[in-house]
Amino acid sequence: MSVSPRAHIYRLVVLLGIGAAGFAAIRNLAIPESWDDENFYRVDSLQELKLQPLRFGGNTACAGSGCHQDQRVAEHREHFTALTRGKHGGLACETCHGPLARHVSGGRRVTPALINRENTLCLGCHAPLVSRPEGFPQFSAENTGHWYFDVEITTPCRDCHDPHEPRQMAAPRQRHVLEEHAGTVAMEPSHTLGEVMQ
Amino acid sequence: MTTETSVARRVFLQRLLAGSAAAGVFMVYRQPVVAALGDADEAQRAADHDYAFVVDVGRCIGCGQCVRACSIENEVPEGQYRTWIERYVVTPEGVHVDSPRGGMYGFDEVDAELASEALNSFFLPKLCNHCAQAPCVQVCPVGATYRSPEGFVLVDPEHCIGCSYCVQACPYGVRFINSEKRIADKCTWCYHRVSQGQLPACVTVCPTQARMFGDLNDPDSQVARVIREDNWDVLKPEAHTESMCLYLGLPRVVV
Repeated sequence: MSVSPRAHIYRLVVLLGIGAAGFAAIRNLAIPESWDDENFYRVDSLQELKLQPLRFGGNTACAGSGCHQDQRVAEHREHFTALTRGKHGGLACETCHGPLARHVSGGRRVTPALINRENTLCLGCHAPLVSRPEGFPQFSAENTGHWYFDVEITTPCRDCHDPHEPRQMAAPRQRHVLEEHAGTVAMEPSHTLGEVMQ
Repeated sequence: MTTETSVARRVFLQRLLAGSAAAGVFMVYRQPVVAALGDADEAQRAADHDYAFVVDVGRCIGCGQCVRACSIENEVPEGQYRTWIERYVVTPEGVHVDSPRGGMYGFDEVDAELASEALNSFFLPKLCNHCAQAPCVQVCPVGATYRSPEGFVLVDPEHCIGCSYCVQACPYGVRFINSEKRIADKCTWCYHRVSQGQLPACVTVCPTQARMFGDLNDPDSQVARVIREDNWDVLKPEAHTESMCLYLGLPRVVV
């Protein structure tokens, strides 16, 4: 029995067949199951990206949260109401108090919310900069009230301004501080202070 | 017996032909059929949204809250920024632009000489424009970056090989190779937050509402109103990227 004269052709065909099958198999394994042929991406990645944990909860998560068992519930609500009616109405709680995820995790408090009473917090927005929009309130020692009470940029802002409602100046517990700043100026605090601060 | 067999063969051949034709048709049209069966709801829901971002340049005070919030929310490595704030100071001699540490910790005042010469000065927040015709999507060799049906340009972390073609392709310079994950990284408009009904982190904390985000399909949204009022600009319109990040009050000096 002699070897077919076309044996080399058959061998070639078999090898090409194996090669093609191998390519198809590897290609099949390399393409993810949820591959979108039209838009060329893995559709499952959308679901995976959604799993990233959230850090910021937004005001709705903080306002009137029922987390606290004590007077803090009322305190939260009070601050939130003050915030929404004042000049700082557009602010998020987390803008100053840090992300919710650092305060609460798995429904439990992990650390107290950030409370920065330093001027650095206020000046982050209100330090005078030439690039800030015109009309945006920026600290000025020449400002009527500031000038009157010799307020400098280092004077604690909180002595007079309530950060939750900054227009509500000279709150009763802080009035004595104002009087100290006023020094020897003789005046009737109950109404003159109010006029100056308008 | 013989007759029966020959008839059966003819029938068999006819059936074989019909069967192959049917199988062929199914193989060609398989994907649309499967897609129509399985993903119809998903695709419909996605198409209900068409998100856009608006930056009001006249409201930005350069406080850096957005940059800090973004870094926390997305665990962006130090020294890299998914969003940042640029400060422009326009003087008769030229335009000074700076962005110390991405504006993350705010800005110190420019030096007195520059401030006195300034004709105009403003802060300009920047982020991914989530272009409808995104160059980064076009160049990705492995299909790891794509534009989702809702308009988010995203990176598939499992698929990205970190070749940084997209980093070079982006006309806005918003992409970088994450120094910890070694893959392409960029602003996602906080896709994970938006898909849970929250606003992006930067929009959440912005104290002056200089950043707005919303759905163009919702006629009551701020972004839809901005589109209607038609006084917006985009960065580098000449790049024809169909940017979905609209700027209000964008000065002409901005490139």
